[in-house]
Order: sequence, then C-alpha cells, then structure tokens
Amino acid sequence: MGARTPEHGALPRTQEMLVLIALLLALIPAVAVLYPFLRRRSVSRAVVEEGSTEAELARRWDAALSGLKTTELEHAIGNLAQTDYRLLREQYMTEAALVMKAMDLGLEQERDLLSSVRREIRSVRIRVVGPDGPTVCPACATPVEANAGECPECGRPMDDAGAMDSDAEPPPELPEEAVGG
Amino acid sequence: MVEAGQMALLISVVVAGYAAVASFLGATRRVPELVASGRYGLYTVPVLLFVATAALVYAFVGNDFTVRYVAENSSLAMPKAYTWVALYAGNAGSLLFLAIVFSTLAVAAVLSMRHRLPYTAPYATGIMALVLTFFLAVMLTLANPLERLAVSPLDGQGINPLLVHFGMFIHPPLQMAGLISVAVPFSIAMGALLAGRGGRDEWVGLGRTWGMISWLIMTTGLLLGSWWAYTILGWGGYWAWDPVENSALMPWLAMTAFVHSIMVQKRRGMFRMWNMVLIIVAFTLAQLGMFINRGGPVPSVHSFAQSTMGWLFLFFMAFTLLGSLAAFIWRSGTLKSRESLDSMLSREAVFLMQNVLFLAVAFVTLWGTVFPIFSEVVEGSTLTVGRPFFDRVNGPLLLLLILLMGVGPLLPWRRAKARTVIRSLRFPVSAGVAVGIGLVAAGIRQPVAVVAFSTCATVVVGILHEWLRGTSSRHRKGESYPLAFGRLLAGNRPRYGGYVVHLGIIMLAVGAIASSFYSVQRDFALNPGDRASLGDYSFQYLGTQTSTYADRDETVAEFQVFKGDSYLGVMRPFRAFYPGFRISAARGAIRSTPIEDFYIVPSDLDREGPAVFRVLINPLVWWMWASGPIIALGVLLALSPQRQPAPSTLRVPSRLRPAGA
Repeated sequence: MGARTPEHGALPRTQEMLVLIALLLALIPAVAVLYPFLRRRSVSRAVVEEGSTEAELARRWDAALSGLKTTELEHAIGNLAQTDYRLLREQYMTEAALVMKAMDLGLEQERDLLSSVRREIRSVRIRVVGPDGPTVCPACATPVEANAGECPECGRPMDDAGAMDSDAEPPPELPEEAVGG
Repeated sequence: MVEAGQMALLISVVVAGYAAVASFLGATRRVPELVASGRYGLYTVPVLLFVATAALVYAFVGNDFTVRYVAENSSLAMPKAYTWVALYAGNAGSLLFLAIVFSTLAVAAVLSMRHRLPYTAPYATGIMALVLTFFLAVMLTLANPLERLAVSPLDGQGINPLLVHFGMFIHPPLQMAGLISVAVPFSIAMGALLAGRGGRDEWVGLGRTWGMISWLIMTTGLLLGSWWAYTILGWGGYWAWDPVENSALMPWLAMTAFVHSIMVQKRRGMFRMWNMVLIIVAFTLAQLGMFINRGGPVPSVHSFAQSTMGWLFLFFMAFTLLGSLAAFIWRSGTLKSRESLDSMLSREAVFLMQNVLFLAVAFVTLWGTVFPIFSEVVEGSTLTVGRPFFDRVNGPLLLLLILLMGVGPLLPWRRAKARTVIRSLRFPVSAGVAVGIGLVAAGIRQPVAVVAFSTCATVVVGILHEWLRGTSSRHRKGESYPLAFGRLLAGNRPRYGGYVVHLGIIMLAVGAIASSFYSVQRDFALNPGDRASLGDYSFQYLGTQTSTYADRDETVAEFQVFKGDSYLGVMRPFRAFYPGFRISAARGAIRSTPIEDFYIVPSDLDREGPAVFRVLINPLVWWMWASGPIIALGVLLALSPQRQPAPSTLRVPSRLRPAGA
C-alpha cells in the first residue's frame, strides 16, 4: 500500500476561500443570536400566558371535559356500570362547575358553554352507538331511548338543558386553591 | 469542503454552548431577548451540522482517504450505497450522526413548545443545548470525523462486513436516535421542574407526545436490531441479553412506563413526582446505553463503535443525574398531586402496578448487565449472567405486564366496583381459559407456555371484544362494518391507538414465547448428496461453491428442502471470510412463514470431511417482525391530532388574574 501527501492548505487562494467560508458560516448564527436584541418588541409578549390563572382554569376545564367524554365512552361500550358511571359523571361535572364558577361568564356564554359540553359528550356516545342509539339523561344519567321526550326517571325534558343547568344542584363553594391563585 | 465542515463543527459547539448559557440566564434573569437569542442560536446548529455532514459525505463519495474517518470506514471497493452506513459505522461518525439527529429533534421540540410553554421552554432549550454542547465538544476534541491524516493511504480499510446488510441502513441510526431522543421529553420535564411548573401539568401534553415519539423510535430500533441479529449473525436467534441489547432495552422499559404514567398525570393530576423520577431514570439509562455502546467495561458483541471515551459519557451521565436529582429535591414542593388514588380497582392503579413492574424488569436487566463488573471487583474474576437468569427473573414479570396490559384498559378511571370489573373481564378471561384448554388438548403441555399464550389471548380478546361491541353498535344504525370500525377508531385516537400498539406487543410476545419454548435445533454433519430431516422438513445437501470477491471469499452451500411431500425450493446459506478484517461471518438461509421459520446455518464448511450445519425450526417468529408496522401504526394513530373543543370561551374574572397578566 502506497501513500500520498495531502494537498490541503497548499495554496494561499485556498486559504482565502477558507476564511471566506468561515466568515459566511459564522454569519448565520451571529445574525440569529443578535436578531432578538435588534427587534426587542417581538419577543417580550408571550411570557405572561403560561402561568396565568386563565391557563390553569383552561387546563382544568379540558381535564374535566376529557374525563366526562371518557366516562361516556366507557359507559357506552359497556365497561362502566350505571352506579360507577353516575359517580364519575358527578365528579367531573362538579369539577367543570367549579371551573365555570371561577369564570366571569354572562348567562348567554354559560349556556353556550353548557351546550357545547353536551354536544361533545353526546358525540362520544354517537360514535359508539350511532345517532339513533339510546342516550342518557344529562341530569340524572338514566338511560333513555333515543326519541323519548323526557327522562322517565326525573322527568327532565331531553333537550339542551342538563345537569349543569342553572336549576341543577349548585356546585360546592369554590376553594381558594381551586383556581390556582 | 472538509475544512468547511471542520469550521462548521467548531462554530456549532460555540453556538450550542451560547444557546445553553443564554437560555438559562435569560430564564433566570427574565430577559426575553436573551431567551430568544439562545433559541435562535439553537435553530442554526442543525444547519451547521448539516454542512459538516455534507463535507463528510463528500469525502466518502470522493474516496478522500486523507480524512482519517473515511480511511478507516470505507474503501475503493465499498459500494457507494454504503456511504450512509459508513457515516455512522465508526465512533466519530456516530457522534456526528447523534448530534445532527438530536439538534434537529431539539429544534422541532423548541418550535413545538415556545408558545405553549413559554416559562418551561427556555430551561428546556438550555438543557437540550447543554446535552448538544457535550456531544459536540467530545466530538471536536476526541473523535473528530473530519480530522486529516498526516500521511494518507491509497485505499481505505473498508466497512465492517457485519454492517453490510439492509438492516444496518435503519437499525443503528434508529437505535442511536432513540437513545438520544429521550433527552427531549427529559428536557421538557426538567424545564418545567426548573421553572417551578412541574406541578401544573401544562408540560404533560408535549411531554407525552415527545415521549411517544422517542418510544416509537426506540421500539423500531430494537425490532430492527433483533431482525438484523436473526438474519445476519447466523446463530438462529434474535435476542441474546447482550449488554448492548440490554442497554437499549432498559431505557425503552422506563419510557414505556413513562408514556403510560404521564396519562395519569394528564387525566388526574396525579403521579407528578413519579413521572419526574421515571423520566430521570429513562434518560440516565439512555446515557448508560451510550456509555456501554462506546467502550463500557462490559463485554459485548457490539464493538463497532467502541472507543476509550466511554468514561466521558459515564461522567456526563453522573452529572445530569445529580443535577436532575438536585432540581427534583429543590422543586419537590411544587410537585404535590392534585388528587389521590381513589381505589385500587381503577385504571390509574393498574398503571402504577405496571410502572413498578417495568422498572423491576429494567433494574433486573441492569443488575444482570453490570454483574460482571461487580463480580470482578468482589471475586476477582469476571462472571457473566446469561439467558437463564434473565429468562427466569424477567419472564414472569413480563407475563404479569402482559396481563395488566389486558386488564388496565378495561377498567375505568378513578374507581370501579368489583362486580363491574368481573363483568368486564369475564369474556376475555373465559376466552383465554378456552385457548389454554385448546392448547393442552392440541398437545402443548409446557405449563408456562400455556399460561403465557392464554394471557395473550385474554388481552387480544379483550381488545377485539370492545372493538366488536362498538362496531356492531354503529353497524346496527346503518353504517357498514368498515366505516363503523374506522369511525370508532377515529373517535378516540389515543385510546384506540394504544389498543393497536397493544396488539402489536402481543404479536411480539407470541413470537417470543413460541420460539423460546418450541424452537427445535439440531446439528448435522453432511456430505454432498446426504439427506436428513428435522420435524416435518427433509432436506438434501447438494454441495458447496466457493467464489472470490474483492473484499471476501464466499462459500455457498446448497440444499433442496421439502416439507412432507411438498418441494419448497433451494436454500443457500453461506459463510464469508473477510481478509481485511479477519472476520468470518455466517449468513443463514431462512424460509419464513407465519407458522414457522425453517433456518439453516452453516457452522463449518472449511474442514476436511463432512460440512457441519445447524438446522432450526423457529415457530411464529414471523409475527415478531410483522408487529413492527402495527406498533408504528398504533403510535401514529394515538399521536394524530384530534379536534379539541377550544377553551377560548373561558374568561377569568379580573380579581383572579395574576398581577401583570
């Protein structure tokens, strides 16, 4: 096996090229790291959101809604007995109500929010049993036939009103730590 | 071009170091410009490393043997397609590969969290930049892939012949990427911890997403590694509890525990401390894997990327472990759980048990892996523990895990009554028992195998039963079965994606159980023309043919194979000797079906007299390789975005808003 001598660095012109390449390469990160100092306004705004009470409440709201949807799914596919279903549903409803109480919502907004929650929960059940399948009473969680006008157990009309409606049992007082403040 | 790559490497280590310092300083001093500056700096690191990698590829393609790494890992005879393998076949190249993969993942992670986690992101960016700085500094000072030789050879040494295999195109890069990718969820978790937000759960969504990405990469790497060992190493097996295999398995186990446990935090606000511990353990084990892979003190068949720098990785592992434990202790007050365990009959309780089991398997494997070191210190001689130890201890634990995998998803969150649990489980368990009875009736008498198969059947039936109920329910309302099934799965992707992964794991388990208990092997000494049989197979040895290639001498044996009266075809196992590496490699010939693999390995073709072959029948191994795409599909389904109700209608009363918000 023979050998040959490396040719790198032999010509001054090559060295000039290398310096130029080095400068070009260094220029990319230099511009990147200096940019925020030159454009101060664009970077300082977002840092207040993550820890805000609003964000904490939104997370708790999402968790409660997610819990309600999973409970609905488990019940629809038959993994959850009626008593467990009622208990879990009540716990998640209470959590959702606690979050809602911490909101400064108008009556209209509150109704909108409740309707959207009901739609979400209903859509979970529809995914399993189809649009014409049996449903449950949103107030007392009793199974109800699809076309029934009212709940056979508590008599509540099977429309958009539900367990979190204004005349439902009021949620417990909101503890200080519940809002993450 | 090579010099440009060297400069890019040098600049990249400076920039990564700056990104670490600027991110930490910016976060602690609350200077948003400094935070953004560090972040933007990190964005440029993959660009610089791409320049360095392009320089190395250019050197490979141009056969520039003045570059030490090119001279050591390629030759004029090497097909250009293997440039990709040669890129990470050696220590220096694999470090560059790790750096470019990790920097790209880090940039993707920062982009995903910079708006969602503005408090956490700077710390997480700092941690990822710190890890990157370590890799780049080690590479630049001790293993520079672009280092020039003073005197260069006319031809290179060539690539390790064991790496010349299709599996090598994917297995090592995925394995390395998998180990380093654990740093991403680790950084997010530690970032949240340092920012004092570990107990607020906002990091959990992204932590889970990146945890699952990391888990998928590691799983694919492990499966491909097993497949490579099975098809190329020519010993008829796929897993040998080798230290490097173990070192990849341990972080996988910890990450599996993490991606399950994090769901409990997401759903219930529980296990906050536990999840931090899990991700610290997973990252530590991933670093241990890198250490063992790079010249650790335990003997292994994976020696292609070995070096003496392993101890640096051990030092860095100790540094990050102590640092993260200190942060954990410092911030432990912020990690109190919102809720407690309501009942042991709940999904979260099963998650907890499963977590403990995963860690138990990981630590048993760790003990078996490092035992040679302890035995040397205590006894004065190196004692290794082999497959019987791992099988005996880990086997029952893994079986329990499979059982929990079937039980857990059938239980609701929070609590369930015993009656409900019995009702949910009666059908799958009955099916499992029926399978067990069927197996015994069919002549399978190994009690452990019967129990293991029954357990797998219980899990599968539990999943399929739930799918069937959901699909039938929709079908009764007029949807076709495929549409009903598709909509059911699409309706709750994390849940059903998890089920698909579980099915893949069961396929893997079934293959492993069947081949562990019912693999048959026998050695045959045969002269040309001899006939022999094993099980239902009979075969005739026709003789050998030797050919000489530029890099190897290859002796190919030829067999005619029959199953019963059916002619299956000709099988050609071979042995090759690579003079440049003084390596002799056997390549088995495999006829693979979903029922069983018929496998012929040439043990000795060179000696005087009859040639020696090992013939194996490995049942159900095909299912192990088929499980890979299923698992990947499940993870992708679980990670696929689903429409979330926007919480934008929420508005907080001004009295509750924090000052300045």
